[in-house]
Amino acid sequence: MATDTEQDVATPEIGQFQQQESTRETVLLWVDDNLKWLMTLPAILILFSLTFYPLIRALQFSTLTYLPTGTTFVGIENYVDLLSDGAFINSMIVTAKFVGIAVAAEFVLGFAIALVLNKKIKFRGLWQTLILIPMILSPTVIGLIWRLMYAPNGLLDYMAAPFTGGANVGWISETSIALYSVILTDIWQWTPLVVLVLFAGLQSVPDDISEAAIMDGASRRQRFLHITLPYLKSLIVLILIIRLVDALRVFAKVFILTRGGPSDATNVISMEMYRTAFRFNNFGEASAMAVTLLVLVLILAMNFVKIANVEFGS
Amino acid sequence: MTTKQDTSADVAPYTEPSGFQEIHERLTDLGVTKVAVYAALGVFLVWSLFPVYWMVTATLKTRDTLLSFPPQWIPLDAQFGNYAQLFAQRPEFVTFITNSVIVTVVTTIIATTVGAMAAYAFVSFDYPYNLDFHLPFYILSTRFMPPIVTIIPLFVIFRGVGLVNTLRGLILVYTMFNIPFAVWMMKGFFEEVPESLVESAMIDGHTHLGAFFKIVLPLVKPGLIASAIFTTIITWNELLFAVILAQSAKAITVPVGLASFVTKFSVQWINMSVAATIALVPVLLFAFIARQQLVRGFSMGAVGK
Amino acid sequence: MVTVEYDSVKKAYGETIAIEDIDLTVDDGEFAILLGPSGCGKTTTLRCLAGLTDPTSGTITLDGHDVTDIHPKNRNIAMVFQNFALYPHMSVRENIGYPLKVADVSAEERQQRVEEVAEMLEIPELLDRDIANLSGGQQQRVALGRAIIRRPAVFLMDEPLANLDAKLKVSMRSRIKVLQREMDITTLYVTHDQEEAMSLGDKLIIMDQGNIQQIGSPDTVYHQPANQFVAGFIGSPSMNFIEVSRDGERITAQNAPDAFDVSLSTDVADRYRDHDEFTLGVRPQYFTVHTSEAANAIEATVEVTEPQGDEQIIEVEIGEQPISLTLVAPSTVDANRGETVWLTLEDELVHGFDNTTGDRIGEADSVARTGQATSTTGSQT
Repeated sequence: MATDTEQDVATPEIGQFQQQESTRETVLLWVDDNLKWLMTLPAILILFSLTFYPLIRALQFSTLTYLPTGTTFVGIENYVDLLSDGAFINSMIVTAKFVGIAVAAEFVLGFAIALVLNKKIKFRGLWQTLILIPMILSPTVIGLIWRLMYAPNGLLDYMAAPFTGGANVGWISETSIALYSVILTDIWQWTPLVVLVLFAGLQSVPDDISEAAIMDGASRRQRFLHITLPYLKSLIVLILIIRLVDALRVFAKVFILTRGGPSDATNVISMEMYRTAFRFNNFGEASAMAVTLLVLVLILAMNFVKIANVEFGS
Repeated sequence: MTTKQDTSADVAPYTEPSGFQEIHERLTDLGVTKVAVYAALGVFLVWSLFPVYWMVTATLKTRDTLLSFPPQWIPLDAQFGNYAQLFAQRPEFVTFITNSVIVTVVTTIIATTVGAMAAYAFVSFDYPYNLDFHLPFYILSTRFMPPIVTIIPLFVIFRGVGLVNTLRGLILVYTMFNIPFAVWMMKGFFEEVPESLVESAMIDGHTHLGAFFKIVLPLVKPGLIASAIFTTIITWNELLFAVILAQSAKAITVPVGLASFVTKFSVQWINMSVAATIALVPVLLFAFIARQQLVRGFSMGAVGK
Repeated sequence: MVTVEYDSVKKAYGETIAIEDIDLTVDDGEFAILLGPSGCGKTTTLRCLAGLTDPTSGTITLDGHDVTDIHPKNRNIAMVFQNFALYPHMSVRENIGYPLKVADVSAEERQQRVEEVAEMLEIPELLDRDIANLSGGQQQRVALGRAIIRRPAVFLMDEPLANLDAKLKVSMRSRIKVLQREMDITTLYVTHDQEEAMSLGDKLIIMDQGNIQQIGSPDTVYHQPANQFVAGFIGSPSMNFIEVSRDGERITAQNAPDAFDVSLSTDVADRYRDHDEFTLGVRPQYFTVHTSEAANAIEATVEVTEPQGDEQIIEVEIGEQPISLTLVAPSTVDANRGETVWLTLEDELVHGFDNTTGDRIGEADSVARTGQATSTTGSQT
């Protein structure tokens, strides 16, 4: 220990035990004392006023007949009307089809691809970056891209020529196909997400567990069913929930490709609400739809959470 | 009691593979599996990227070559003039871009700051009445709500206070939209910072807030950048809120502008492609910069969540 | 220069009481150690002085100034944390100089003082390195440097040696001791390692379950423990406790009355005149081990012997129950597993503890207790 350095042990600044008497100091200390509230306040204020408050107003509007001509209180009449509203019921069916088919396809395809890619191949960083592209593009842009490809005499007509003999397939003008054409764009955009997530999950299955199973004589099929799948369960549930919730919100793709047509074949719920509120200016009915949708989503979410908790106690 | 293993010859020390296993093993030995995997990867990549290529090359074609049979795979006679033509025919497109830039930048700054502060607070402080759990839960649950549900009352409310068709209104709404993302992303990063660092900083002379800015934030910079980029991309791309809340040219953003190219009557194919290509360049740029973060973010840190 | 005083400090988290009735004084320049098992409240007590934890009630004064409500940054204390808490994104130089930077000290003066401190801790060659590239011992010294550079009024240390390996611990220990002596700064140090405490401290403050058990010098707490907890906590191997009944000068172990039946000398027995039953405490070193039968001895069977060089640790069992005892004997004693040995007590050195309160029984003037040493009901640790 270098004892020759004369450590100048100055008397400590006793004055420092007391707070400096300045307004700046007082303000700073007050802020520090209340930091736990001050730091969360902006977020809470913004979210409350722009999410929860509008929801309450939506509830309010749903009980009114809210037209450009004026508003009248009608209680639950809007909700009752919805039950017999053909367009609304149709939009629920269309949405259910959309979500069901799209998410199922994305999941199956994505899982299959992730499995295939789960070998020791190179270029991992490269392909992971490349498949980001469909995911980060604006759904508006994606709508436009596919609109171009679906155009009469366009790319897809050309590729289908062997089957159609060169005739134009009304990809987005034919009522029987239009919905599937839209679904295809969603699959195109989001299958990469499933691939990324499940690939990461597959990679994280510890090697020693698989090897133990191999030593125990398990076949590849058995290993997949008994080791890999259970390991991935929570991830699978998670990705399904995320995709389901996101798919319910589809708007931009429909807006660009078909505006809900032809003949309401692609009239998903958000499209129907948009139309009711901003084309027909019927805020009352649209609000009733909004509340109904919200309730359905909550029920869905809670059930999923319940299933998830029961399965994995997460 | 030990019984000796019956080591007579009819128990072979290993089993020969049969059926599918055998074929698979043979193929693997030949290196066929590897080739098949790479082929599958190639197909997947082409499938995912070709449509984008198609649109980008469309910007270099003419009306005739655009929708020709058979299609022109590689634009031979590149019409770069199409880009100038867009701005000549639709000069307001420049305003759309400016609007989008302003809205995106301001939203990103506000949402990231507010979200980071809230995330830090939840991680570092104890709240009474179990708010510790409830507040972040409610904040994160807003992510699961379909935005269409709030948009109708929001429109009415904004109309009442004159926020429709303003950039301010859009910024407000987008900030609300992005705060849950920011909180969700930053929470993990803040949890990595040991409390003792902040305490040490306070003893060294900082207020808690000072320690947050001077010590904690520099340590979570990668998270802040990732969060900012996520927010930027989401905001730049957004259509629903924009199309409802901003209909006049003063406040139209790029996605809304793009939608206007597709009317009920006709589609201006070339202009539309050019505009869309311009719109997607910044997004691709940002995504490239933050590609590692994005991949990790999308994979949800599946490895060790 | 600075005296630290805790007055009736209490900290509760809702229903749970972390610490209470904390009254203690650390004199100017004194090296005080807060010692106790995990969860005893020693770190909470330290943090109250730092300002990182707010006491529920009570006051803390520095040199007469009430600092209980003052923000940590204004208290002129320095603290070394168990995990060092070095700023990862700064170099060694920047870490050490940071308190001065916050205090707006000029860059030249900062530079000079950082180099002085680095010299003192013998790490000048590390100044421009990154934190991540340092070993545990080096990080420790950087943390120390950051603490002493400000010439604080009080030095706080929260188990600073806990994360170092054994050899490093011992060398850093002496370094810290010399540093404190040279700088003459009032120091409060937390540890659970009683050996560390004994070698470093001027004054030991022993805590258990949120209360102070005893305050005293290492010598005092070793030879005159205030209660059974302190007696069992200090000293290694720990003290043996046997419940005994007294009849005149004879004491017999309650669980092995035949094997353990000895007579104490008169003045020793007199200490326990008010107790027919009590707990006898004997340190392992205060038995004498005889390999052949001796008078006034306890008959025991050897279970394990652990050679330790010049000494050996012998575990024996007594009686039917049996009672286990740990002894320390010179390695020349030939005792083997299964053999019988006879133990005599150096009865001047034994202690007796009240069965109800756990307090040590002794003459008033030989019991050195400070303030409130609230006793726990004799829990056999």
